[in-house]
Amino acid sequence: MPRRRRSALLLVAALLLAACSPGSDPTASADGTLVIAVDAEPSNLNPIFGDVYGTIYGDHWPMFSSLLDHGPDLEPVPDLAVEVPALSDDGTSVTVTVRDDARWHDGEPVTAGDVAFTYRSILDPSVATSLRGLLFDSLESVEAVDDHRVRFDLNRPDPAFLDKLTIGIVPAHLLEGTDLNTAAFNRNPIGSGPFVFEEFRPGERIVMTANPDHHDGAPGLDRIVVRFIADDAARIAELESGGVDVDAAGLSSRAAERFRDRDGFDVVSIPGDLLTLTLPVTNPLFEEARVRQAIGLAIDRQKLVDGLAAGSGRIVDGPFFPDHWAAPDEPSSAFDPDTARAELQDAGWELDGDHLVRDGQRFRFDLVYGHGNVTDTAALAIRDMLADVGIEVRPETLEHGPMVERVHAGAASLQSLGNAYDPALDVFEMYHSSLADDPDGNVARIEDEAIDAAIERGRTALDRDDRIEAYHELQRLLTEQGSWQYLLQADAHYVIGADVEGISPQPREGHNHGFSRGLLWNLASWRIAPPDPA
Amino acid sequence: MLRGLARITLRRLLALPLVVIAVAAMTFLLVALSPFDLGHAYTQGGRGLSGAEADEIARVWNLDGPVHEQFLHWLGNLVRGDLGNSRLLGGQPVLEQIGARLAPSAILVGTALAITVIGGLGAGVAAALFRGRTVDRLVRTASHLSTAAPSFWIGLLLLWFFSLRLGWLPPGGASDLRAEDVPTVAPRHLILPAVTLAATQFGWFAMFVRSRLLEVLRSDHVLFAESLGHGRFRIVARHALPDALLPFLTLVGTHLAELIGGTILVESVFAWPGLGRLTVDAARATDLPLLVGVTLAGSVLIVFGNLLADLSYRIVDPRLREASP
Repeated sequence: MPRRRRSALLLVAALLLAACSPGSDPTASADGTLVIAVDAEPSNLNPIFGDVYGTIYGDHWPMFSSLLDHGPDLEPVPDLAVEVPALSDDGTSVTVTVRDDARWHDGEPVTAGDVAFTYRSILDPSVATSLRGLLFDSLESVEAVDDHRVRFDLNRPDPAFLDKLTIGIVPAHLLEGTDLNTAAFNRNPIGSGPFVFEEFRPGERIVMTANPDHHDGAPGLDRIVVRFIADDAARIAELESGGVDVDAAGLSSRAAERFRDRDGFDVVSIPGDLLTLTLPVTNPLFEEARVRQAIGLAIDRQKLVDGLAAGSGRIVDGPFFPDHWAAPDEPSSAFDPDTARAELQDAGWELDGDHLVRDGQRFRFDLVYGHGNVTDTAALAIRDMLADVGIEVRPETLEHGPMVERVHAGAASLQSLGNAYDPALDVFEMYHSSLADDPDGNVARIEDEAIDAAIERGRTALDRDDRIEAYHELQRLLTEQGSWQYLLQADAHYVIGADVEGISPQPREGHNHGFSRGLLWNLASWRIAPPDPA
Repeated sequence: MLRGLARITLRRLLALPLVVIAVAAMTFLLVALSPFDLGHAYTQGGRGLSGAEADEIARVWNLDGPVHEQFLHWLGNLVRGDLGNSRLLGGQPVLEQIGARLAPSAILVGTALAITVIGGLGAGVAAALFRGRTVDRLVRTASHLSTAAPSFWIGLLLLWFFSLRLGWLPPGGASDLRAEDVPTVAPRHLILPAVTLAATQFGWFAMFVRSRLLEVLRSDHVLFAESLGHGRFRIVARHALPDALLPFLTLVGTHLAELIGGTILVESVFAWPGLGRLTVDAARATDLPLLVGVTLAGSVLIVFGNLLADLSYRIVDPRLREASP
């Protein structure tokens, strides 16, 4: 019996020892393969259907190339275009010259006809793409002038139009005459980008290999495997065990922190989405501007930022990314709970114990938001801060669909703004009165002529200074209006678990995913570092 | 005897379409009653339906007709194998895509079922034979844990221990996705998800076998066998177990549905490329054609599973062979 007990003890000790040893070390792959994890599985790889993640800024996969790309500082740089073109003097037309040495992965040359076909498809009402209504409202027609020149005609001056020439170009010779909505191409594409599509295994991975004949030269990586792993914990586990080299979906600051000082890992942080509290004017509680402003004054933005890991977020005062050319320098938000209480009292809300009451009704509202690391903490903090002035907030997480419905019905919400590019790409959609009934656009239901005028000027003025003035005016008006309380900008944190050279992220990135922006914008220049001789 | 079995199999197979139609009707009804707006479902936000989208919706759902006509129209498409096209799957036909995701789920459920049945049987027998002893206490504790703990929790725990702490098993996916050629399912990748899925049902089986066996061991014919001086092992193997096995098979049939339902959580935890995760994706994206498709596929799997359980029941117990189904 004693012997048996001793062997049992040994077994337990062995198990404990094994439990204490770390998992296998991440192995940068020797064969030039890089495994990148994203959180959402793409539905449609065809770039004319827009960004698979539901944003409209025209992201595309690296098997495609586009006329222009967003460069290192987010200004347009040429890809298939010979140079960055100039808008005509009246801002309503632009002609782009397509380089003559680009080829599709099947060997056919890329022509102006392909470009015209791509943009014409987006304008075709029978094609189910969300790009048409929002991104290309200004595009009237597109025409191949000859084999290498494409002319775009606009229905209004559109200074942001060059930002819209980043859509991936699709091959007319393979798609002309097919039903684009159901084309097999959508999941098995042929492009002209630095990587060639190899395989799409649903639920598992997309594989791409280097295109040695790319018009900018062969990329540095031989092979890319993209995996779809929605769960943060699962992506962390894969990073730890070497199943994933790059987490391009982004982790919370706390989760990324554990990788920051470890050998074999790098953490890249990029300023990301703006978080806002949105108070729709259609909700009787938020009818009055002074009440909306009082709610804004009662929120301690610095405290919200401090709730994130040190240095991984900052206060924002308006609808633009900090350090964007459209953003004013001076702060327009403040934390002043005393003024907030006074304003609420002026509006007829009296404190009864800890609660504000008017006409026998408590000041109480639901705050709906999509689950996320930043939103979860922010919602609870806002609940506590508003409780201090007597307002009862009931936070509630919802999926996208039900959240849209609740917001449409007047619920307060936390929204993420993700436009790191030209403001004209989304301010119209967000604040213009013509979209006050739209289920997704203008969720605060703002109808304000001065705001409309500033938006219009910002998206049609051709002079950059005029536009800056218009957007400063817009920020001032939105601050006064008070339905949008801009709170903070949180950084997106990406963990790199392989020795990769050439990573040089763009200075800001809304909605932390995409292959032609943010972390991965220059994926074609990445290469796996040769093993250390030592 | 085999003729009787064949006849029953044939009869059940002939009834299968009716069962599927009933399931389809229920699914359709659920969609009709659901708060999903079809327009929203097709455009992910419902920003102005394009002509093509409106046509596709009208084609699949026959929206202009009354509900019963809508159902017949939809059923007609279903019979032709046309479940519509899925926005979430890049406009590809739903049926084709479901086919691609069926195999990983079937392998996962099959393995989990085998673990549950064999493990449950073994543990139950051991617990019954060593009633009140350590083995029995261990089995009972494990069983209570298994029925009480949620599968995603067990899954995360196993994942943390075996794949993060020990580094023995991969944390997710059905095979090594870095490799050039990947099999549908690699055995190393199957272990954790299959054990997790099995753990959700293991307790029921073990406890069932245990209590059933204890009951049978007290029955007259076992006492009779004992009085004849047969050994305990022989009594259990020859007399008690076959008796206990019969209702055990019913348990397999009823718990198969639980296992298939369980894939939704387990596949999400282990990034398994099967139908369970596709269901979650379809629901999150409110992709109705796909959601209806996976619901139907899951139901058909359950119907087939029950058929198999029913048939094996009849093979084990000859008395039931000639009885009407």
